[in-house]
Amino acid sequence: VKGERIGEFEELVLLAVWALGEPVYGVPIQQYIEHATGRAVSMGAVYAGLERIEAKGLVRSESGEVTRQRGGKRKRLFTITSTGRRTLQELRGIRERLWRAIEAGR
Amino acid sequence: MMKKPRPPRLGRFFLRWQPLGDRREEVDADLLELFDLRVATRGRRYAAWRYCLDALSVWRLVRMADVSGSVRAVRPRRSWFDGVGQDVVFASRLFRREPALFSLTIGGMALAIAITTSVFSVVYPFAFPPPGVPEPRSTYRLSVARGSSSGAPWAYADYLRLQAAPKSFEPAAAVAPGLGVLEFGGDSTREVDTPRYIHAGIVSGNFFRVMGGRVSIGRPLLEDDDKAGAAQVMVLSDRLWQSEFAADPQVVGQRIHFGRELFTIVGVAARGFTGSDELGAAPACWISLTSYSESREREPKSEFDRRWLTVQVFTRLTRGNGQSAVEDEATAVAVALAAERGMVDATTRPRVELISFDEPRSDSSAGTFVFTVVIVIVGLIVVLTAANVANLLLASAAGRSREMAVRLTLGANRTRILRQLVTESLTLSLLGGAAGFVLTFWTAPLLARALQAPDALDVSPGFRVFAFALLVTTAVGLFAGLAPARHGRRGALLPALKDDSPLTTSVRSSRLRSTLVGMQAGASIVLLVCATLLTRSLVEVIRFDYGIDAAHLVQVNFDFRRSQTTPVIEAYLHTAQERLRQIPGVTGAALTLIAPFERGYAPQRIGKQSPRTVGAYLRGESFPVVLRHETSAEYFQTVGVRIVRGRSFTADEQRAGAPVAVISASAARQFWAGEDPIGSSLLRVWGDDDPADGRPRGLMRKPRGTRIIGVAAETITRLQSYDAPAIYLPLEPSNLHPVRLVVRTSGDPARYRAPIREALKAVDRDIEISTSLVSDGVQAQMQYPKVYAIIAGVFGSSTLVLAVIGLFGVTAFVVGQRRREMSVRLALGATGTDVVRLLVRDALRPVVIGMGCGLFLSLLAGHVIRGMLYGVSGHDPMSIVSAILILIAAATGAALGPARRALRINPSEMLKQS
Repeated sequence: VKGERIGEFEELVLLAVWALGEPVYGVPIQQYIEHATGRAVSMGAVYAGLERIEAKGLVRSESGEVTRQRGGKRKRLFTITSTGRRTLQELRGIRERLWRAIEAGR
Repeated sequence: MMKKPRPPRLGRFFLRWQPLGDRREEVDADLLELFDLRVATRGRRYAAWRYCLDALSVWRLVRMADVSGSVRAVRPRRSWFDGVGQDVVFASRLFRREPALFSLTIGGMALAIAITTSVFSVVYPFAFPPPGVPEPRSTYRLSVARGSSSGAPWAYADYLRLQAAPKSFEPAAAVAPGLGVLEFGGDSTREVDTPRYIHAGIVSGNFFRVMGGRVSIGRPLLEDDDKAGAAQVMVLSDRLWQSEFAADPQVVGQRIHFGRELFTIVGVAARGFTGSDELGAAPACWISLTSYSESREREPKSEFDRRWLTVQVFTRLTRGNGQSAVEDEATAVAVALAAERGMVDATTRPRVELISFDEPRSDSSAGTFVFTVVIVIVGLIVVLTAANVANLLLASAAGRSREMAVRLTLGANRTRILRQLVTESLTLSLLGGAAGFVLTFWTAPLLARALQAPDALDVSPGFRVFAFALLVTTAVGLFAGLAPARHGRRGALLPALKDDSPLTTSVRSSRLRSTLVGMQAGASIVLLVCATLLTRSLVEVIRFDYGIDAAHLVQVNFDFRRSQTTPVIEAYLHTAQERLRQIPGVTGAALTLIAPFERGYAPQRIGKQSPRTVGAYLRGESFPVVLRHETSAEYFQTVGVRIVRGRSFTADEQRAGAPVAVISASAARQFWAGEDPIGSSLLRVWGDDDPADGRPRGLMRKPRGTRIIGVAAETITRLQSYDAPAIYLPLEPSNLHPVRLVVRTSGDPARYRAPIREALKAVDRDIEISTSLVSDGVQAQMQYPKVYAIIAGVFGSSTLVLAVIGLFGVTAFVVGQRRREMSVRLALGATGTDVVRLLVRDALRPVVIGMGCGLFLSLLAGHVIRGMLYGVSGHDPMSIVSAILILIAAATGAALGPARRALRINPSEMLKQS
């Protein structure tokens, strides 16, 4: 993963982007994480997380089309990259191995 | 149709002020969408609350720009703060252009801030003292009002009746601390050379419980300690415990001397508890009313009557009982007591008022007055500082009119330029303020000591002081920045762009600058006059001829047991003096009630008392006083008091208590003016009989008809009363209990302390003695004039420095502006001296005018501080003239430097240029 680590919240953001499938913008991501974790998540934290994982090449973003919904204001749409998918799968692999070890030891 | 809810204004405010750059559009939209979503699902309030939080949290996005350095990193562009960094860079460039001038201004600023904040940190706790009890809001003092007078304390007997009466509240009593000043010694195993005098809180047994006083060690005073025959116990204040017992945790159970008695320490009160609503009245320890009364009654020849001891009565109300109900109850008791004495008519009918510890108390004492003066001075200094910064920026703004014009032409708006100027002056003042605040850590404790602030005062600079310094600094910066900004904005664009001819507004702005310089000169002269007066007074004090041999005197204090009767003590003292005179090098020993320069030695008031108000203080009304000595016959020779007329009293006269007296030469001058006082009655010194009690005022227990038998040379035995007349009376043998022995030695008196102790212990091992040097007392009293001179010197020189900086800046600027004029003059044949003289004269004009105005104030100031002066009048011409000379010299020096720069102009070059 280019030697870069991702934090717990960044992982959540990345998972949300993947889970939502389509190119998504900040608001659905924030809502998704808030519902999934049951804790209040600030917009600033979401932006910061997105900014970081984008810098690490795990997501890419583009300016959305101008639509009438938001008073003609643009969205920034995020899509997960293949690196992003691979990173999440590797993390999942590591975790599952560890959980198996825990259960075997019990 | 219902209006669509909008995000809260606060949240939008948060959002607007963050430099989001090209992300703003997106963030705005996201937050708005989220807001609408939340309004729909969770309600408006929740949505609004979360909107604000989100708007704040977006700050992380701004910070990200520096951390990740990503392409989309946000660059601040649209907010008001954009480019502040640039402004600061501009400001620093400006500072680099005139480094000397700017560092001087910053230095002056630091000085002014240090002084201002120090004064504030000392004055603030005075104005808003810490409450001293845990629940100030519900703790009250029961004050008795009769007719038009109010604030009276209670008689102890009345308090006991109040305590016994059925009522819904519980009163507690405490003696006003000033009354409980007693000599305090260490425990009997520890050698005490100098006795200390401390305020004891003399309180009822329930005092600690009623006031909510807790202890950190041991136990508080309890009801049982306030019963007849109870053990003598004492609770220490936290401060006394720290200072005298080095915070010893084993202090409980130790026994120490207090007054004549030995007290056992039972506890240490919690830090901060004073049990008093007066600052400076914080007791050092507490003992019970009964212990105090019993010890006073045991004194030989005691006339003490505890019933008429005045006490302050306090109570703490729980939520149940109302203030007015308690007032009514207490009033009923007070009225009943008054009725027993037949004092219930309209004017004497008492009324009890409850005064909360929360209410500010206004004491119109001289102390408050002095502090007001100091605050005014401080205000002056702040104005001077602001004037300096303003002056500097005014000069630089005028010089930069071209720069401003170019920027305006290129499209900078006026707000932008204004901000630039304010940023510059704020940077300047914040630099000075920061340096000044750091200085405060040293200056504040110094000032507190100099002003004799009570020990209980915590003056270390804290948050409040920091906030105050910041406030003053910002105010100075804003004021100083806005003044030139107003002028800078007036300028017409075109002429400024075409050439660098002086702006049309320069006349106006130079007038403003002259006024500022004049103000500085006026303030400087006031403080300089004070400084020179106090310095002269210090010189006078150092040159004082005390008229006694203070350098060779040793003072001995005794601690006689109360069982020792007068004849026993008399015999002891007689032998003691004999033995002391046998020590080689001891040239004399004499008895006196109070030794020269002894601490706590107060002159006696004579004549009618004048009211103690600020007005009276300003008018110069003070108490006529006389220093009263009661001595043995050998005193004159031992201490070195010369008799200039008549004779001193003999040992027989002293022992018999003969009605004779010796007066000082100044008393003779003052009361007998030209007549011969010998054989005259002493009554003339304290005026006629006081009709109230039929006794001559101040002449307690002295037989009438005391005749004057001699006139002694002038002496000084107390610096604060250096010019007070003195009288010498024979020491009554019955008055021997508090007596001091004064021993005169040849050579260093400190070397005699041990031999004196040995000789006295050889007479009676059981009598405790302590020795001290009279010269130490002199040194201690010398602190006052020294400290006064230092403080005034600091104030005076700092304003002088500020004025010099201001004048230097103005002259430098004027010289720059008048270069063309000067070159014309030089070309037409003026000599360099002519030009310099012209420039200096112009520069000094506002100084002289300001000084003239200031001199009137100086005369007033000299009058106000005359109580601090020794041997110098408040209008001492020499001091005033030297202050004027100092100011003129400094101002000339400040103007001369820049003026000489004008000589470096090459006239032909200069004229060719234009």
